[in-house]
Amino acid sequence: MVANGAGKTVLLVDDNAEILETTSTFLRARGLHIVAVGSALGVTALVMRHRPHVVVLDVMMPALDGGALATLIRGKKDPRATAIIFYSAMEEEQLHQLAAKVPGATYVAKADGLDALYSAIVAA
Amino acid sequence: MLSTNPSTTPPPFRGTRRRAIGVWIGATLLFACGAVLLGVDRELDGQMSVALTNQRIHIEKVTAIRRSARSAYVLLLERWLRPLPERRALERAVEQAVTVIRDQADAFAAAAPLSESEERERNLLISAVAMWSNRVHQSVVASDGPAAIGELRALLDDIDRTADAVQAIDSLQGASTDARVAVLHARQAAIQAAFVAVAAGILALALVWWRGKLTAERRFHASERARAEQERSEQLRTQFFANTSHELRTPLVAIRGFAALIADTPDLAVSVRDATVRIDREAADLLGQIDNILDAAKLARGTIDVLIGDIDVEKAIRRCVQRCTPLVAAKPITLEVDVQPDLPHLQSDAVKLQHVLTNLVANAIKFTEKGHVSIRARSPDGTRILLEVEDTGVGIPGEAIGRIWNPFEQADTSISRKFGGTGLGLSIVRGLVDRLGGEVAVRSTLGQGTTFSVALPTAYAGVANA
Repeated sequence: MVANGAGKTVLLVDDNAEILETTSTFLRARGLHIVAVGSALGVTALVMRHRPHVVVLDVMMPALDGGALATLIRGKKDPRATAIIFYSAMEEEQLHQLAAKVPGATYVAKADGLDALYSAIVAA
Repeated sequence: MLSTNPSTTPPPFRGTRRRAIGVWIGATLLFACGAVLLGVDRELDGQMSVALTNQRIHIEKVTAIRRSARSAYVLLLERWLRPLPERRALERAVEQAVTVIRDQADAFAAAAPLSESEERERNLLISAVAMWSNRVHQSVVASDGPAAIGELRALLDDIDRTADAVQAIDSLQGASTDARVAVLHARQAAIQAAFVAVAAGILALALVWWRGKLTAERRFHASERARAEQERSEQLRTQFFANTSHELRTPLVAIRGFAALIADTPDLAVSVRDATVRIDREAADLLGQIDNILDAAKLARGTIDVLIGDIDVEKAIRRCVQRCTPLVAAKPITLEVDVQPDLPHLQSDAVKLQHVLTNLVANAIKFTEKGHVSIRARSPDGTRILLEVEDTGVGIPGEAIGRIWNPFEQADTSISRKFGGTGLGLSIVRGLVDRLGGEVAVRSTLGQGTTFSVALPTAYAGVANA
């Protein structure tokens, strides 16, 4: 683990361009190395290439939702045991249930704000 | 994690089995009645046939004896009137005729049993025949023509009288037999009518059963269709709420994100920083209102799911504070947390607890202009956890304190104009706490502040009326 999160590599996946931009900028300003993508397609290859400490996944995305993507990532040989954080504006009950189904996954409701996401990344 | 939600089972397919058993018992009884009636009908047919046959045979035999006796008499007269050489041939003919009569009488005697009066007359006729045949034989042997003819004429008259009597009885008996046959015919017609009625009853029962079965099946299928439609409608509604709430929250999240980026900017003008804080507060408040509207809708529909898990209460309170901090904005309010050391974990629904805490703290911040909002947690006896949110706000008037838990109620209508809000927050708190098996309470001093209390069982044990 990297102390205070500085230097951690975070793969950020969100189909909403504004949220992707604000979140990436906010987290970079706190010393994190961010790889940001606006689509779920090809994310598993990026995980294998960048070996991020944390993958932050939006859930309600076209083509492939965050839950299915997390299952694909968990299916890869991953020596670092990448942490997964679901970060979504969906109803928190559903988010809670989704995170409970994926080993090593937690969640942050987008309504809780970027500070809450940063705290979760530091704690991961 | 344990999920609990009261579910309704589809209406059972009742009544058909009991109705079918009743119908089949009825049909079986009717079939048995029909079989008995058929048997009686055949028996009556047999009785009628025997009666008619006996009557016919009786009349035929009496008529044959009378005819034979007359022809024997004629032969006997001729025997005395003819010349001697022909007498011998006629005597043989008379003997043969007498033998025929005796045979006919024997056959008559062996005929089917008759009525008592008929039997008596028959016996008389048979005795007369026997006596007459003996006398004929004696007269022929004695060659006493005139005496024999006289005697035989008298005897023949006896035979005629007896035969007439027998025939008269036969006629009466025939009428009686006809009447009996008519009665039997009437009985048979009644039985056939009863049989038709039984068949009609069986058919009616079958129709009743079939119609009942069809009706029950139609009701069952209609009920199933309605239930499927209701489930589909509920799924669509749930999906609509999920999609809509996501679409409502997403731009607000982006707004808060941009506000955070602006706030990160170094050397920001105070007015800009203040505006950024206000933007963030309003967006955070609106996000809370969206949660409340969704919670209120779920509580109203009774579709609240409880997901039980292990909860670190202090973490939950810290998250609530982090979530509500933007709501404080520029107000001179401090958010204080006081958690009892070694507080037991709670076995309850983390999301519902967070909604309860957020509503109480957001409510306290809204109605407090200065001072503090304190969140306390302790466990007085280890079986419950007591959460308290205390503020130094405007307080609640005594007459309004009983209404604050009702939906859309605020202590004063001017409050919504001054402080904003939908009036849903506290009703949601009570609804969720009820669902978690806990209790809510409030104490307040007007102008000094209010303390809301929530007592939750450390282990969720369900809700009695769920």
